[in-house]
Amino acid sequence: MNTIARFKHFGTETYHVFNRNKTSWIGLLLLTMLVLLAVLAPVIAPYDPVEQHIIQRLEPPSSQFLLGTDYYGRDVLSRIIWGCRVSFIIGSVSVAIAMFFGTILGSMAGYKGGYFDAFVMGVMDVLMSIPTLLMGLLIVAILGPSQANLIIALALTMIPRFARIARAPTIAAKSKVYVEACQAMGFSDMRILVVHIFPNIFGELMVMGSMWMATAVRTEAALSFIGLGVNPPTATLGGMIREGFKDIMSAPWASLYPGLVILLIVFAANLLGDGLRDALDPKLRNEK
Amino acid sequence: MKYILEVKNLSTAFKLQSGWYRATTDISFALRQNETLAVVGESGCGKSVTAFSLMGLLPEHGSRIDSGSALFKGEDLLTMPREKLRKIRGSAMTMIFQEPMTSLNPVLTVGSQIAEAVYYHMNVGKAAAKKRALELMDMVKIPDPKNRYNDYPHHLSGGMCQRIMIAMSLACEPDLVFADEPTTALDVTIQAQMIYLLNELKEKQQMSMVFITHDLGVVAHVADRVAVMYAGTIVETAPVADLFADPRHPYTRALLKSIPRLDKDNKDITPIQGMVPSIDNMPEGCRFFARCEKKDQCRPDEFPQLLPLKNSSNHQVRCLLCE
Repeated sequence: MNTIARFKHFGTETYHVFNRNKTSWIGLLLLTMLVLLAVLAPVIAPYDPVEQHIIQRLEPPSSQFLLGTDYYGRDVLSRIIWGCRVSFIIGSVSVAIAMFFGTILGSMAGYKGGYFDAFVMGVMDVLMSIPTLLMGLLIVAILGPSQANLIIALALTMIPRFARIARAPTIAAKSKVYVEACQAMGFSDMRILVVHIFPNIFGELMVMGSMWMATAVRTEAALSFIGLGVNPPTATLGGMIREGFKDIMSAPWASLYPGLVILLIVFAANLLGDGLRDALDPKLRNEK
Repeated sequence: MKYILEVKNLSTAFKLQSGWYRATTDISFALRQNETLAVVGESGCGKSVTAFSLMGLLPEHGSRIDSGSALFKGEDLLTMPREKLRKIRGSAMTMIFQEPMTSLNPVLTVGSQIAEAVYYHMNVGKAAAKKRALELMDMVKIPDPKNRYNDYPHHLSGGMCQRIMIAMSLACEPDLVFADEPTTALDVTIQAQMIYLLNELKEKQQMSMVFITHDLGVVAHVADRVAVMYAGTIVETAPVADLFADPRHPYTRALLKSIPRLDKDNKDITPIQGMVPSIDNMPEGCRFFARCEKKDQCRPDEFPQLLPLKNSSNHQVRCLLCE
């Protein structure tokens, strides 16, 4: 069977297990809706997110501005939709980068063992000892606040996490008889890692990917909140909370709704992660 | 006389906390084409270590080969570059493992795992590899190969998984197969099926086999020659009929005496007294001395060599009393 068909088959079984878990569907549905919203932002958003309706500043939610306007008279709904876009781009790209490099480093360290393992994981531990937010601050302070630098900062803090997550199951898989059998079949180390070990750790990586996606979105919001994220006037969820903060008593909608959306994203990503964990775990799949 | 595999004085050592200790000492045997050598011995006597040493599958850290040579079709397995050995492994020389259920990757279909072996070593396309895999599944008598092809290992029974393993290891028509207790994890009726299957395929493909087991009953069915191992050494090797008819080494005799038999009343079953010496406390002389029935007539200071008997050169014994 070729690789595509193999993954299709793997996919149908995964689908069935995933299907049994109703909460994971809620997560998937929510996240899909939010992603769609972000992707279709130029079509859906009622106003330009940076267009200022100066006369209608801090207007409460109405039929004209569904979620009200902020201090500069910008439509909160449109800004949230565009902010989601920024959050998802930063979240998914940084997770993808971190997952890619972290998996390569971690699984190679786990498979090779010895000094290589000790060295790589030592470096990872040093990186991991710096809190995510602090690391973000550091990088943004050095490179300056921009979307690309934020992605670099987030990816860098998540690489050691993915390396760890990839390493442990690689070590566990390495001592399994089927890996020994692969060695006895004369397969190269690379092939054993990619074809035989990777599918076994893929599930755990996807779960952690969706969970860390939530964290990346949260950290991005936090950095934007303290003014180190993407430069204004670009709409970001964290930045909106900050800008609305000074009028929170008189016009809570300006910072409350973006906060709510961050909560939704994090919640949905975590639900999805839980569902995926059950669906991709080869042991749980056997229990039919 | 041409041998497929000729092992001479192979010694393998492992690192324990207090230093290096030899797990096998002075292993020598030779194997002709289409011959089956059964390696028998109790757990920990070095049967599997011997096979792993020859396959180059010992752990990288904490093990080493101290001495010896192993000519496989004229080339020394122990000194050849790792890459070359890797290419031989899985094509010309393969291994069947003890536990079929865990020897297959749980997340890949069984068919694709056989096809992978074909695809990897035989330089054919994916479609041809699949076709060959289906042929192999048919060869190892898996009913309805087309439908079983997409099954995962957990869908199959232990016996079926072992058939898949056999199909994988025979995929590239190897010259030599190490079968490391291939029947131990299976129940008795399946054991018999597996042994007949292996024997049949061996004849068909004219391959040689090293059959590692601790079951003397199995030995009688599969082997042409037998090597009895004790505490890391071969203590006796002979054609299978000779060994059962005329065992010479006291350990072999004691081993045969300790098997219960259905056709006797089993009152004369005698267990072997004592324990196997541990790896870090091997006696200088004969390793079986402390447990030997005839130790009163023998001496513990000299390490016996594996020498042929006077009247039959095919029958070799490592015993001072038999010299």
